[in-house]
Amino acid sequence: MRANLRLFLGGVRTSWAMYLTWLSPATYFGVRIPRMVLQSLFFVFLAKAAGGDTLARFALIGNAVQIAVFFVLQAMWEVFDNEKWNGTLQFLLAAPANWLPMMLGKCMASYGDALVSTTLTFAVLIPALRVQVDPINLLRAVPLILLTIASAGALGWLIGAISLSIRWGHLICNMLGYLMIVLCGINFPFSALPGAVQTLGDLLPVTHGLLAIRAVIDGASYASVLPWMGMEALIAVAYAALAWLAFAQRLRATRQSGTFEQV
Amino acid sequence: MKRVNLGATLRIFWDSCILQSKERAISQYFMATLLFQPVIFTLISVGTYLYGRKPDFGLFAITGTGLISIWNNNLWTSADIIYDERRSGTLSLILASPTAFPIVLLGKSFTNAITSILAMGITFATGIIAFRLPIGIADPVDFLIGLVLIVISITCLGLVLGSLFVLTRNAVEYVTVANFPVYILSGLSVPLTLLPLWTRPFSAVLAPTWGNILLNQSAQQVGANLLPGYLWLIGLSVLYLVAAGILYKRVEYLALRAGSLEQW
Repeated sequence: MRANLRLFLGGVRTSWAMYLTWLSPATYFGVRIPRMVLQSLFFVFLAKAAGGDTLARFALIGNAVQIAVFFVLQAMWEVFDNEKWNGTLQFLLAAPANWLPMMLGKCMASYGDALVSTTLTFAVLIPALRVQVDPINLLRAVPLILLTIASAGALGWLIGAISLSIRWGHLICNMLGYLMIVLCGINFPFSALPGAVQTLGDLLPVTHGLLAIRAVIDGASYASVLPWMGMEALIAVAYAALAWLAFAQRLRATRQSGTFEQV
Repeated sequence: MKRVNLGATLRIFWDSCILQSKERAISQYFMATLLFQPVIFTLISVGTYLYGRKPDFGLFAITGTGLISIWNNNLWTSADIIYDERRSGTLSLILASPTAFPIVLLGKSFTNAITSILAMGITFATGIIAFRLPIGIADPVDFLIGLVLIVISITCLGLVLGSLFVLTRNAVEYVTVANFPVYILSGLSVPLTLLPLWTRPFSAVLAPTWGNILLNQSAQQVGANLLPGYLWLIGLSVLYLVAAGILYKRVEYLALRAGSLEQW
């Protein structure tokens, strides 16, 4: 247990160091924050033009969560992919340590960044667009937002594990991130989608979490959104388990073939 | 006065076009932004308007999404061209060669812009197939003229960005922040009336704004007065070319004075 905790903390330190290298303050404040706010603003304007202030409010909540989902999908895929490109995959294979706690630790900076993204998007767009949102209810929704982000992260892990050999991970994450705006009810309600598309959305992370987040922001109790939260947690566990199996299989195949080049 | 060898210039322009076509054809990212992104953005924008019971905005959303894809392709590839040359170690060689770098950049940007017209077709096809929208272009000739002018204008704007991107390794990072403001300020899928009045001058100097107006007018009615739109696009293209020329001279001077591109 202590060894696993140490591995986890080592992963956290690594992820933080990588973040600091990649995102300088100038890049973070000059590029990253404006990008997340402007992306959300575009989709909120689209909703406002289509359905007035009510749909704009709906889209604002959806997009503030979606922007975190968008980043976390990419980041989780990168956690796997970076091992390959940094040449550290062989150490993961050779080391007797359990790779799971370390990989979990390596995700922590991205989860933190995703939460900051959502917070800043709400903080900027709510006053800028004069949208009515109760701050207390918004704070009550934070655990649900964390759950939804974690759930999307599990999908990012799965993409990372699967795309190690096909090298299309970045592309898949990017396209899926945008497609989730349609499938998960980000800009307009999930219930407006055709039945077959709803089934697809049902199987994706974020859909149920977002329904719960919206309800809590509108004043619902945790108890009343428990089925949605449970479903979101279940989907997160399912995707994480699939990712774990896929990555473990990939490592096993690499050991058997004795080559990293095909990974 | 420096003599311009037109034949050689055209050959370099053409070779740059061919090289860029080959590079793009094997670029999964380019193919995705060209083929998949228009579909996804059309689903989002038209879906949102249909949910808001504004099916009349369907055509507006589709032309806007088509222009988003054209702009996106051009923006990304303007950054990518410089980034790829830098990573391939050929940027310094091109800058140092007697061939003017803007000719190479022009050929590559033009190829991207021409290819990206395909995105407009994809957005229309998505609107028809996914939403069964009764879409028709009222004046196809004017629509085509508008499309050609917008492609030329966006190519010229790509030259401005390409010149700037020589002086940074973070071009790709800057691109991520430059696309959404242009969608908003140009009124692509989003009416300009939602924006405050002080943003209008920014909208006016962006070619996609006028392209959007032209395409919507020609798609919705026959015999509309499109002359102001044409003049704006031609004027902006000239303005972008002049700006790109001045910028490039400055960038070239800085690079030659430093004797290296390593510091940027």
